[in-house]
Parts: sequence; structure tokens; C-alpha cells
Amino acid sequence: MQNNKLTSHRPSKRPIEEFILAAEQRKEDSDYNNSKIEEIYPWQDSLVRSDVQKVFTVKLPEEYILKIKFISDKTNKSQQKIVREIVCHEVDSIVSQLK
Amino acid sequence: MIVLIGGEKGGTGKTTIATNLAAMRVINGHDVLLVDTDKQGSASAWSDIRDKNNISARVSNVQKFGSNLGADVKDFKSRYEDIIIDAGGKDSVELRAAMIIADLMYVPVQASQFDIWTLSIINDLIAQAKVFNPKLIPFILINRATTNPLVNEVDEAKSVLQDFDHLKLSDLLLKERISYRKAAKGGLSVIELEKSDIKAITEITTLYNEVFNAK
Repeated sequence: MQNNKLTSHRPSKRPIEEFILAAEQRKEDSDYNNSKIEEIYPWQDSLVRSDVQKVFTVKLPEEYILKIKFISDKTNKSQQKIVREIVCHEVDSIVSQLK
Repeated sequence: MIVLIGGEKGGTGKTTIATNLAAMRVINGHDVLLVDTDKQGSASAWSDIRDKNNISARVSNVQKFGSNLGADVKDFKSRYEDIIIDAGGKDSVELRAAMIIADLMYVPVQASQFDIWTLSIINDLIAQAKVFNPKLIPFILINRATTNPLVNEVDEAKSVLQDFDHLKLSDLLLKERISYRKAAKGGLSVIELEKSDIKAITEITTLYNEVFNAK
């Protein structure tokens, strides 16, 4: 049977809107959960040790090899140390931008 | 009629089905609008290729995003005989808004565990949408099924799909066929390919007939 009683308010569209917009909420929840998972990066694994050094070979233009040698001569730092400092600094900077 | 091709999973062939149905509907003399709600815009790109290649059966196409999709489509409904909505492969405001105004909904799935796991979400969404849109008739359509007769994953999937009380499994089955990809590349439907793939044409025509009750 139809309900023909007078009502004080217009029928609300809210439940439909709530249903539709719940997709956004679900996406936000999902993004939040995903970001929680993504916070654990490979280098944060408990088995990764900061005192372990591994070799990573890079091919550089001859010009830069000579520039590194030049810096080494001027600063009395080893070429290894110069390159390591520059690379680690830049890598940390890029990673923080990507997070 | 408003036909929604949607689902919670990407890569199940929604755009392929939507574009084929739209082109076939136009070829059969109907006034159709293809609504692309996927931000990837694949259906729109398909339609653009069609226009660029001067294919005579022109498929009108529009991209629409946001929670007002329902109101926009209702407006289009007064100007087009049929509307086919290609909703992207995720739960979105567009998918939900389309479910509120659609007459028919097809959820393409592959007969894989990952696809089937997403169906409980769709099943729940349909249950909620039907409160606002009781006329919505949802079907699951097994798509991209293997052509290898020795693999019985479809039968397995069919038995699992019976667990969803709001989803009816279509009797149809679309198989993974190269001609769908060839057609998409040229902005065509499989029935328009120069070199006919009879099996693909038979499958898609059966689907067309089921959707538009054009038997």
C-alpha cells in the first residue's frame, strides 16, 4: 500500500549520493592502506646492513673520470669516496621526492 | 535502453564489448551514444580512429566523469535511442552513478581466480544499486575464454559464479580471439573486418541479440 501521508521535508537524494560517493571513500581507504604497505621499502628490510658495501660498476664519459680525478687531487679525498658521497646524497634526495 | 559494461577489474574486455555493441547497433540503424567514463579514454580513442578512417557507420561518443554522470546520461537518453556506457575497471563514482540509471549491466570477467575474487564487491554494489534502481538487470559474462577445448576453467568458473545471488551468469561466452584486437586497432567492430572471423562474429552477434533482444 502506498504511503500518502504529508511529510515535512522533500524526499532526499542523499542516500543515492552517499552510495555514489562511497566509491571515493573506498578509494581513499584503499590508497591509505596501500601507502601503509608501500612505506616498507626494500632498503628498510631488517636484513639490509649499512656496513655492507657492494660493488656497482658505472660507465662514465672520460671527461667525468678526469674531473673526479681532478677533485681527488684538489681535496685529498679518494675517488671512491668522492663518487660515493655524491651518489648517496643524490639518491637520498631523489628517493625523498618519490616517497 | 541504457547498457552498462562495467566491473571492478581491469583488462576483462569491457571496452572491446562496449565498442563492438555500439558499432553493431549503429550498423543496424539505431541512434547510439557511446559514453566513455574510463579516464584511459580507450573507447573515445577507438571512436576517433573510426572518424579519422571515415567509417560510414559513425558512433557518437562522449567522455563523462564525476558523480553527475547519471543526470548527464538521463539527458542524453532523450536524444539517443540507446546508450552504451563503458565504465573503467574499478569501483568509481562513474560506475556507481551508471548503475543507478542503467537498464542492463554486463560485468565481463575472465575465468580466472583474480577476476572471480572481485565479483563479491560487484555483487555487493549491485545489491545496493538495486535499492535505487530496481529495474537494473546485471549479468556476468565470461570473456576472453581460452579456445583450447582441453581446458575446463570455464566450467569451474561457472560453478563458482553461482554463489553470487545478485549476479546472473549469461549463457554466452566470448573467447580470446585475435580479431577483436585487429578490429580495435582500426576503430572497427569484428563484423566490419575485411577478413571475416566467423566464430567471433557469431559470438558477438549472439551477445548483441541478447542485449538488444533483437532475435
